[in-house]
Amino acid sequence: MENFWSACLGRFEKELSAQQFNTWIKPLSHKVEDDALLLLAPNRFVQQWVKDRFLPKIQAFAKETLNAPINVDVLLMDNIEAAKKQLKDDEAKKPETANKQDGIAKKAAAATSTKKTKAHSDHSGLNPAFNFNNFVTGRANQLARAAALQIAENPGSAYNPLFIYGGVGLGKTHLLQAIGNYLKDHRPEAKIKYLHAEKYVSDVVKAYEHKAFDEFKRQYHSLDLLLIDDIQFFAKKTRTQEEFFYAFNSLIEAKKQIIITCDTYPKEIQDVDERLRTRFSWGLTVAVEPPELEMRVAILLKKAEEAKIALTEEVAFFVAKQIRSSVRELEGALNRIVAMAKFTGNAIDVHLAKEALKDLIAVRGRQITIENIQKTVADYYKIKVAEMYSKKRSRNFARPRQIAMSLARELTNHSFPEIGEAFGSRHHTTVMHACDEIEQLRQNDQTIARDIAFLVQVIRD
Amino acid sequence: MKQLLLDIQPLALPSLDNFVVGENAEALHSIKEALSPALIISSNNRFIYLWGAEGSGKTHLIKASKALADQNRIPFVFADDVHTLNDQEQIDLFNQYNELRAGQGVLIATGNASPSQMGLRDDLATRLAWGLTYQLHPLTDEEKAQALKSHAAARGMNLPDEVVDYCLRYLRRDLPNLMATLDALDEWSLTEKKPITVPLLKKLLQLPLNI
Repeated sequence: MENFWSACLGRFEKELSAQQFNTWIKPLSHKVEDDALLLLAPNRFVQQWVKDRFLPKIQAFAKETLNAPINVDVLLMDNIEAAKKQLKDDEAKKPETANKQDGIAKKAAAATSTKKTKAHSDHSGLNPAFNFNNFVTGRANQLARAAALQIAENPGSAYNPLFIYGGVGLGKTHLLQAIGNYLKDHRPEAKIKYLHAEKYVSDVVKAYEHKAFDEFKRQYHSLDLLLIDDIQFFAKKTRTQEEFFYAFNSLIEAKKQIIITCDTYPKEIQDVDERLRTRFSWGLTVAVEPPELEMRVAILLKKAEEAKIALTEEVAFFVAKQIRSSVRELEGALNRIVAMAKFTGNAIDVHLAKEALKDLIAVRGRQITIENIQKTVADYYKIKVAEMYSKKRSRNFARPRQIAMSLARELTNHSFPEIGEAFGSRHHTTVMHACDEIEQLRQNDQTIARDIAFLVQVIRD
Repeated sequence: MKQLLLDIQPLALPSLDNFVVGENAEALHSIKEALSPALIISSNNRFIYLWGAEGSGKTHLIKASKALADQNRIPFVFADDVHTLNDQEQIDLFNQYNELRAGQGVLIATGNASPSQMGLRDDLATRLAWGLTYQLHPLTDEEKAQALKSHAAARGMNLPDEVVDYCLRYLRRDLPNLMATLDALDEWSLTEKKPITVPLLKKLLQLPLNI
């Protein structure tokens, strides 16, 4: 059986293109159990592909060579097996490059290399939650998505670099991650790294501290796909820019794909070296725009569906009309609506959405002070602010003054004595009396009640 | 001779249980859920932003959350008063946010306004708005009275209702100020060996602040 699989490998290597062989056949490990040949695939994608395309061939080949049908299955390698296989492959590769060095260096190099590759496979920085399927497309981002998909299918050859720019929270990171995940699924052996520009900066700093620029270079220059987010964070970091310049050149030369996101288009990036900015626009530059209303609704509906939440179009439209700027805020709004519905046990309707959104989009009312209460009330009753502190007792002045006192009590944390002080050094019992009287009036006189409700509104906003 | 106070009062540490909830029940619930070791929390609900006026309980909730996170061994990042952060501090918080989001842990941030209203960097502001956002509503006078009483109970202090009424009538009514008055009153009554009464409070208030 062992021999049969090596014969199989030999045959596939001849029949398939090198790329096909490396993508589908080489990552497989095999096991013989109870006369059955078990092929272990590193991920579901490869597993399915091999099952569909290559299993019949293997069986046909078995008939041909062994004159007997063979029991063969393709299973999913568990993670440990996958890691082991990766390590073995890397060790096998290592001696070719390290042969020229002396023995000790060779050992050291092999050791660091395996360690590094292991870390690399753990730290591609990819989050499988971001893929092309759950990226909602609309007019605002269809070009960027199309370019991203094309590059994911054909990295290094179509547009290099791809430069995606746009405002915050519009899905740039989602696209970046989707490209990475796509490539990872199709070419599991590809070296992919996603990172935020800030992380790159801190890697440069670390390399500086440990005098480890060779190691740093090796790490970045050997990638098949570099996804770097928010490149504007390179501003004023000259050493980082220099290192990135080398990495950029070396990757582009080797036809390895680079994808960059930024909050603005290349020419506009502040405090970044001219030669980098020029290079950023060598490939394709695409924008993601803020989503239009229909797209915001679609995003909400999609997110709700993913979270298995019943969201009506009416509510989705309501939320999408309130929140225009970023997809992150849309998601935040949905989160809060769901949390509120769960907490209160109420169904999600426009009324609930309105309540939930208050906290998220409320404009901060100005600081409420006794002074602005006095001014607002005086303006409303068309008297001078000075009458708030004056000793005049005519009803025309006294009533507004009392209303202002009671509002000061209600809307600020000041004590009765403090309020009295602010109204022409009146005794605190006067303020207490005013509060009681206004409270009475509020309950018995609709005009006063309406006036006060209006004033509260004005003062709060 | 003045009685010296052996200060062995156990401090009534802020906890989620001694938070007087008022209108903020949902916010408190979400915080408890995020810090519960038994629940699996979606990444959206691990990030909570609280905002409100001074004295609305932000600091209490942050301190209490920190204690609970430590107890439950949950990675925890907090950022108090984000509206005061300078450029570099905003970038630092931005990085911490991204790291936490890619990994495990809970972030609670507070500020004086809703995320987009503080003039923060857009990339940070939209991230703060991404999780759960709550405005904390200040307590009513009745709820403040309740808060004072439970604070007193935690200190083992006998606090008559008329003292509470007096405080709410004649003192500034923000909670930090009221609580501080209560603590000072407690110490004063112990050193004077007198029960807590309105006259004692009046006497205390005429003293210089540093007793």
